[in-house]
Amino acid sequence: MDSPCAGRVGKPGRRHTSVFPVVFAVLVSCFTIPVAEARPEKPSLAVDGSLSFVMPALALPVDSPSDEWLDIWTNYRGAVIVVAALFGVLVALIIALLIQRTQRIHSERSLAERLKFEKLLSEISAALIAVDLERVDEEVVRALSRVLGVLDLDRCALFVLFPADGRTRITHQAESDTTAPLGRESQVAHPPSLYDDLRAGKAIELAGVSTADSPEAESVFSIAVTISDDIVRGILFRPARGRRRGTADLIPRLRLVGEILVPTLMGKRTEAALRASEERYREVVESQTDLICRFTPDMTLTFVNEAYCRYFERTREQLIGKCFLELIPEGPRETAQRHVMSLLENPRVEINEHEVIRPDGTIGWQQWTNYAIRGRDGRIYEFQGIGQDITDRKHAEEAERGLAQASRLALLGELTASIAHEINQPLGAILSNTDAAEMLLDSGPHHLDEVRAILNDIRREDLRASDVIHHTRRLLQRRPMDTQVLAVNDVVADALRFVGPDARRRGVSLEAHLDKSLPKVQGDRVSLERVIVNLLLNGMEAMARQPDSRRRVTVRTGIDAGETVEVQVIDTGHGIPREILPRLFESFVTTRQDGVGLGLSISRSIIEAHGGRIQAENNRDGGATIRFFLPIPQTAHGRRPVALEVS
Amino acid sequence: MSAGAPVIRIVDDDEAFRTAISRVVRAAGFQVREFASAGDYLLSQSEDEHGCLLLDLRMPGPSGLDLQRALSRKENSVPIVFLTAHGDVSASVRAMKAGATDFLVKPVKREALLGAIRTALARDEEQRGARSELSELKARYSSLSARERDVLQHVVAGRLNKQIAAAIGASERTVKAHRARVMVKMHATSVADLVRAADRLGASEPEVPSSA
Repeated sequence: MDSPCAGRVGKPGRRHTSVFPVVFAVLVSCFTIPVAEARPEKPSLAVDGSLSFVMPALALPVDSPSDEWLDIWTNYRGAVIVVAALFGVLVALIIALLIQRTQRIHSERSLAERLKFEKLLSEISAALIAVDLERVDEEVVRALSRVLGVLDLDRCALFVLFPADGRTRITHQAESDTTAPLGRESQVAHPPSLYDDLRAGKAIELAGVSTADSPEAESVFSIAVTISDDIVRGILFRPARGRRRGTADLIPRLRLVGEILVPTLMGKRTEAALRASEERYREVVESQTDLICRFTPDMTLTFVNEAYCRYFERTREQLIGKCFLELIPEGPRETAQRHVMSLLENPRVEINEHEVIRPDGTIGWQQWTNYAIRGRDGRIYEFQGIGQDITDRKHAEEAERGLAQASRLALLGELTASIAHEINQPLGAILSNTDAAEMLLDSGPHHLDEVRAILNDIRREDLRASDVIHHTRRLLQRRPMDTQVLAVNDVVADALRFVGPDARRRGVSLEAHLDKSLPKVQGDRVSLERVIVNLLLNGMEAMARQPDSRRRVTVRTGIDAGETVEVQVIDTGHGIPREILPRLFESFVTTRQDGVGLGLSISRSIIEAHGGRIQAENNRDGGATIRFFLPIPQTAHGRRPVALEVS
Repeated sequence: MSAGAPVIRIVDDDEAFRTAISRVVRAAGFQVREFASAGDYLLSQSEDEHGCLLLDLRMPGPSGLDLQRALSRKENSVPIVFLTAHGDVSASVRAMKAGATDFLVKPVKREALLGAIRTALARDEEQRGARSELSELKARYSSLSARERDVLQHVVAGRLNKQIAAAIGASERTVKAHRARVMVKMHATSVADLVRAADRLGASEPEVPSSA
């Protein structure tokens, strides 16, 4: 059992090559060798009829050793020898011809056998392609029994082997009339080398396969067809007992059979599994818009799905074997290449976006998530990528950036009055303080203490002004989102502080009801402050026509349904017209005469980029409430990706 | 008409700015009084003092314009110079229409500030002068008897003594005597003086039938 017949692959005989040496040998023997010599063990002989030309017509009978014939012998010795030699040659030739004939019959038979086998293979293949899942098992068994007959086997079966514990399951089998079928499950010997031997493509003699009706185990030859980490599928067989020839020629043939049957079965199973959920199958694989491909580290495509083909309007054949860089415009090609290189060096799951050349020649955008696929040796031999077209999103983002720009300008406009006041106030104080100091110094040296106090004030006012500028800049600057863990109440407090002076000048009272137990959220501080400032300004603006006593904006924070942090901004203004309410968060929709209608749409983008939502409603007692919800991170490490660059 | 140096009142909610402005004004030799809000100013009413008001346009609570409106109903209010951080055109127009002397945008240059203060003080003088003249006239008018007031009405309406005598049912001589007393009591040296005085008093409208 530890001597597998590995490598004993039978080579078909070379029938034509030995003709000339044999003819030559025969001719030489005619003239030089006194005794004919047959060489029956010569493995093969040549072609029919060709020897008849060299056969001499002479057929004189033999020598005679008796006395009467002695004279004759003496006189005709030479002739007798020649005659004897010729006779020997004749015998040799006859024997050679007989051998050659047997050989020919044999090779004809084996040729016919081969043809029969190949015909069988093609019939099996054809039958399996056409068969549907319900009848595939039946068809496989039928194929196995035909193989049984053609290859002269006692048994032939498909098996699934778990090399870890040697568990072997027979999935389909056929056997001769005199052979008992195998049990469904058996335990085979599984030496540590088993997996590697199977993987190396050797045919293994498996000991311990048990038959169904007897506890006795027998040995069979097995050939692995598909091998994954922990499961081996293959074909096993036992040659017929009376079979004269060895197993060497069987192994390649059965391997072929296995290579047809096993993948077909697996394929049919997969297909069936998919068909079992037809709807999902349609959605997820066939008609899905996700592009799926596999490519080698040198970026050659080895697999593409339907969607991929559709996207590029090419067939699989046109794509597979191509380098996918061809599909990327020259400019960004290098970046894409670098990305794959970096994945090789530092394997990770990372989203990569790049431009592609679309079939109509325009440039589109795709987003890919690539996974490294490793062999057992840990080496990356392929990548699988799942991609999407993000051209629309990219365009929207560009538009969004434009809108964001506009909204910053709009917010700037809103804030101008407030900012001017906030900056002019300290500037005014500084200027007047300087004037006063100068006047004091001009009037004589006895006001130094007061001048010192003035200088102190100047410094303080200067810092105050630069604080305002800093804060305003931070609020209006274009910048990528910087997500961090933050307390929403702090952001609300910052926003209230920022609009405070403006509110006082507008005669609006600001109220805050902040829930102290609020959990922290993930978010970009400045963006969120921008949203809140925006909502506060909107609220204050909505109350411009209200009597002083009614001008009040309330900010309330709390936990909504235990899942989200809720922030409400409640005003007592004119409310939102019913016809605008559903579109309130769209761009360029505004309830104000001088409004641009961007503040709320950008606010929505920001909140949605945080995984939250924003909504508006009118209060029953007048005014409106805008509320937004931010998700509370479920886990400490649940850093949610924020893709959108809000500026 | 009380005596004493003018007092510059500053009303601004921003303490730093208010302090700075008051330093300049004080350094220029004026007396200063500071208020943090319109309400504070109204409560500390001291309008008898000469001076002017430096008033922030936008403040929490009643704004500068609100204070201006409240003060305009008073007789003896001081001229107002508005200070604002905003180039708020509509507010400045309203302020000027309502009688503000000047409208300064922060930060305020010393010359502009002191110039505006001087102008305001001059106007205050002027207004106080005018106000005291009027009250003099009123006092004089109130010293007239009913008959003398009647005669005054007719005189400023340009009627002759004879017509007046007919209108009030008295002799021409009596009218003449009344008229002389009116001239004396009203400190008028001519009919024209009398007409001007009556005009200022708003009493020029005769309650006498037409005869112009």
